[in-house]
Amino acid sequence: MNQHPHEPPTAEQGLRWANDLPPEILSIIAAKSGSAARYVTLRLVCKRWHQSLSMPPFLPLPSRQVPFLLVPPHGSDPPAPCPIGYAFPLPFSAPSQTTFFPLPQLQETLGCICVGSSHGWLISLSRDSALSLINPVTADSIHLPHLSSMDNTVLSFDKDSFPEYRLGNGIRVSWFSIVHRAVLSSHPVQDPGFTVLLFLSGLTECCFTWRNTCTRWHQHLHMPFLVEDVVFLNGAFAAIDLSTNLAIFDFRNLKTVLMITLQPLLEVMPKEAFLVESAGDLLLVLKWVNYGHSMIHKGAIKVFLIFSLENLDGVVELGAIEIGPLKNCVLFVGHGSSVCVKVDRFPWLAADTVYFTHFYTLPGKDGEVVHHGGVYKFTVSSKAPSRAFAVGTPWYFALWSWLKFYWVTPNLNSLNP
Amino acid sequence: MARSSTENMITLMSSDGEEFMVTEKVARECTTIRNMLEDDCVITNIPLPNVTSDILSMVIEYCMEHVAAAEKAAAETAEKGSSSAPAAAKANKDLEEWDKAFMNVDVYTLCDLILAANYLNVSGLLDLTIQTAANLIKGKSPEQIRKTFHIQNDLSLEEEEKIRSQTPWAFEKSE
Repeated sequence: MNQHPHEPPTAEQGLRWANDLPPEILSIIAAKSGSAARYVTLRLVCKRWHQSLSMPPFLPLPSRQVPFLLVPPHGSDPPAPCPIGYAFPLPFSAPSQTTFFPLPQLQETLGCICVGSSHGWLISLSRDSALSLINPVTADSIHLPHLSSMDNTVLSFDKDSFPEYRLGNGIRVSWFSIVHRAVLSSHPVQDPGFTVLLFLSGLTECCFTWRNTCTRWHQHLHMPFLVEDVVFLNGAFAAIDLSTNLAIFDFRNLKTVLMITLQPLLEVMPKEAFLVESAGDLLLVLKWVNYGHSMIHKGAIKVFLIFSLENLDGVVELGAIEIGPLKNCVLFVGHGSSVCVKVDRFPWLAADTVYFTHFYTLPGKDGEVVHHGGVYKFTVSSKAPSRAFAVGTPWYFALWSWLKFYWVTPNLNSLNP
Repeated sequence: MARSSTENMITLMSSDGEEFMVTEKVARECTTIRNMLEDDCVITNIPLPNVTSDILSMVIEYCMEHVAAAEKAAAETAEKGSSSAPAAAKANKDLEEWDKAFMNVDVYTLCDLILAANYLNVSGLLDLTIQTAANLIKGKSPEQIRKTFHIQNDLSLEEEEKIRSQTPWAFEKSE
């Protein structure tokens, strides 16, 4: 049935779809057609579509989007055979009503754990050492070489009993603890040279990279460095340790590591450190906990701006200054997955706030240790820069979990069916 | 705002010179025209050099249907004091059905409608047409997409191979 009569198509009309559609319209059509894989398929249709679709709509825009929290399936130890991150809570519009929604797209990750989250993609690890990049919204997956494919002298994999790894120095590490930090450099659709950087538990003098289209992990030796957090910025990876040493891993120039010692920023060793990119700047968030006289731990957060990261060549000394209010920013911090959001787009978010996840253990009924994790909120203020938070009272929610939570910034448009 | 029975009429002129008389309310569904009217309230004749009469008549048909549906809902609300949820749901469903039937067009008309909706800035129609195009693309290989939209493949084998090799993961499942 065609109720709208029109002329039969001419040869000229045949060119319509190839030539007439503005790139922005084509991008929207591509974005609505489902997945990143689909998007790439559209780039193969013709030259004009290829050109029009050079900038993917799947680019998460961290400064314009409030991240979700990926929560692992909880209540079992070791992890039950369920997909990683069975739920996201909704963004922080109504803290009193914690709402989770399942991610059916993650069904294939049955029995896997999440070991990283960057650019809207999750890095998953399975019991049999398979690593993948998974888009939790579009269900796209990119397979990385297995961990077991690494050089046996560095890492060997024993899957027979309970799967575990044996490091070159003889230390044995269970499969779910082997990945210490994992980050993705850039969005796989936008950047054909996207790279995954891995730091493994117990190996402080080497890291591993996999670049798109490579068939194996490359090992890079470096000075001893126990990485606390790592981000990709201006073409290189920047990493921080708990003594506030900054290391720059620049794999483009085959310059392995540049170590920079920031002046001591705290009188005590911080408990955790996070690097957050904020509009091209690098922020360092240091969190520490004082074990006071009461059962409730008091802690505080300070945020520093690390300056002059743009010109890394020849930089040996780099400074950091403490900043008071965050200039209308809200930080969501998590290792390898921190996000900075401008508050003017989200009036319901309080400015100068740092949200973070925190894990702790409490004695259970029968004397065993019970793991808890929750989301906490901290206000950075110039008047009271070290306002304490009480670890017993999560601001958002608490879950029975020993697996980490991850911030994820997926493309919200593609969440709509 | 009081509803007036004698509404202003606006004349829209298509690229091929055909004239369409519509109420101001219908014309205002097009944001582009609404902006013109707000800039200059005495304007009554608007030439639309980018839209043919075939397509303009369809755009008007769409706007009229949606204005009528909105008016009907408003009238019901006014009558009963509050709109009843089941009635509103049914009206929505009817309109969705109408949209679906309206989208039963060939790909050339669809392309023209997208361009017209974009030019005239009719957000509802733009969303509808773009979703229709996206649905046509779903689950198809590049070759099937070319066939659907009658697109000539002007990529050389080398270019195609290069694009594929940049994102091998995108083609793992289908090939």
